Amino acid sequence: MLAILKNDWKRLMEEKLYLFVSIGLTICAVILAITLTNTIETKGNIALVLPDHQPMTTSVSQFSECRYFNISILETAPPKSELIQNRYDAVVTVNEDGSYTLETIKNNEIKEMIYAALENPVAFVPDLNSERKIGTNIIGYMMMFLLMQGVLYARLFAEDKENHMIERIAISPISFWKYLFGHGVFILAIIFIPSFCVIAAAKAFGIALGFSLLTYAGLIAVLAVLSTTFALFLNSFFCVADTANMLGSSLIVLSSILAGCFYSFAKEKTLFDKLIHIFPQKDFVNFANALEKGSLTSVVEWQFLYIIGLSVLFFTVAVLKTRKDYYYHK
Amino acid sequence: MMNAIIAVNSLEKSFGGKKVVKEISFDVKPGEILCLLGPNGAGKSTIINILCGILGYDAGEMSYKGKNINACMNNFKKHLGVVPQDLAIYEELSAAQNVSFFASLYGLKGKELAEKVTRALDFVGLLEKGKDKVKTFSGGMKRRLNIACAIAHEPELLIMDEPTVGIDPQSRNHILNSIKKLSQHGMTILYTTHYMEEVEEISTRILIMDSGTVIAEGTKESLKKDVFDERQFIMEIEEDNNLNIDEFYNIEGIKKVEKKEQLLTITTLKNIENLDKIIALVITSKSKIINLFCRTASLENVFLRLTGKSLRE
Repeated sequence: MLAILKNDWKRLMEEKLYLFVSIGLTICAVILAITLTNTIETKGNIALVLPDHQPMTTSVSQFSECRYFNISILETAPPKSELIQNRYDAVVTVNEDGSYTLETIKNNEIKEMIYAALENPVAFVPDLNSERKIGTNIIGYMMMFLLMQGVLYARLFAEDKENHMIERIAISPISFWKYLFGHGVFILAIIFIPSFCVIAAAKAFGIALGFSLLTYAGLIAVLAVLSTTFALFLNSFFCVADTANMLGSSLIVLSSILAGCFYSFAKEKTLFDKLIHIFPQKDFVNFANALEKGSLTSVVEWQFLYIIGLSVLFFTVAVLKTRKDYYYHK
Repeated sequence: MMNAIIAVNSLEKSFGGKKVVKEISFDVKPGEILCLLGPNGAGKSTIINILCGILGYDAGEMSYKGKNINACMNNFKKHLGVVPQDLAIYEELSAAQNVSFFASLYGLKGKELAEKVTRALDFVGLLEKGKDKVKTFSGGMKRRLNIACAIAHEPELLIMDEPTVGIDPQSRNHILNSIKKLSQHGMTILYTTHYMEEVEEISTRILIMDSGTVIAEGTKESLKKDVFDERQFIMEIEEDNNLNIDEFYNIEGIKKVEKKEQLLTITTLKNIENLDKIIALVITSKSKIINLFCRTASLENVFLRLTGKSLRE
């Protein structure tokens, strides 16, 4: 196994550009996360329906100017399909007697928040506990790059297959478990160490990062394991490095965006929201979010275990598939 | 069979319903260079891959030093070196780094590893190029490095699958000489090729294969003797107006006489001495012999005789 590690290092040193690019991307991800966390505000879209000739009361006028919502004033209520399409998060209709009717397909928290804003629009401050904090944002932004690095470095395994080195390795006494474990440890280390160093450097500069360095180490390590095992799994099915690289990168970009690594699209009510939990990125962001807010629940813990289980499954399949392709034992 | 390093018995292998190895049996004895000779598609590489454990088989048995090979595969692998047909070396690394990596897969490390890497590179004549990147090497040098990677751990049995494909004559000679030296050091070698001249030069025993079967087995001398009982005299003659071809058939042992322009080809039984009579007949017809040579049996002829086709068809 040590032989594989050393060999991977020597090969990577001949292609240092890969290392520099991935370190550069990690630095960019951290800077972006820190910068954007302070500038992005997530606002709800609300349709405020004022039927014809309905006078606008002071409180309605103040509500329409609330800085925490994007409010569109309409004369007639929009069709329900626009709620389903997420064009609006809620429709607030002002009745003739001055009361309000609130229609939404979102959860009760949003309902309560809008009611609170309607009751007291001037003093209203949203509960920011539902927003992601900086630590989760940094991990979310880093996630896609860390996952892509796995695919990038798994080239070392893919090239062994493409250039027939693996046949020579199959003939040697080393087992495929050890061989792939060697590649895995190397890829994991080369993802983890530079990423953690970037975070540690940011901390050393006094930048608020949300989590402690130890927590970051754990979170990055889990991501590195997922990234490594997924990349080995993917490459075990392809004999051409570029095919696995392109497919892997595309899958990671798409799934990371859908899973809300950069911005959460989840509204927790639609079928789509539930389906995206298939992507481990979604579960990981949820775990990091809960960890940062100190609200770990058993559901979130199961989501975390799902990531670990998936990593073990990816690695096992990678070994068995490679063994099936290159080793015969009667 | 008992003292064989490898014994293969009734081995069979099919691909998509087509049998490519048909009940093949052979053994590899210690210290010998056994050549598997046959055209492309004869089943040589398939047998090698089965022996190395990277390809399954349908029927038959294989043993290593008398033990079922599947039962002692790990032990077998420790004593096995393989030079694959395709180059399997890291282009971006140096020659020494390549040899060191593959040798370390066999548990070598530290000083012992460094010594064996040096020895292997020296053996294939690449010691001075040890620190150079493989991507700067010629095709022949890469082939030699491919061999160094397989011998650094000093295996008991070396399997070489067409190791000289596509290289220059100088590198080929170097490789063939290296193989002979390895054999002199006691290494057992199983060598596959479709080049007759290589087999002629290095083999101690030959298995001739065609279409998945062994069609002949023996030393090159015995194969030629068993299969080829004729020899040919070829004469270049002038002033042959009075030469009567039919008169040659009166000489004992003559099987065939052909004349094409100035070349007279006479095929005769090998065990009958009749060259003096043939020459006398040519001279009495007042023809002038400009050149004379005798064509003895070659493995090419043996293959042609056994299969009815040339090895390179």
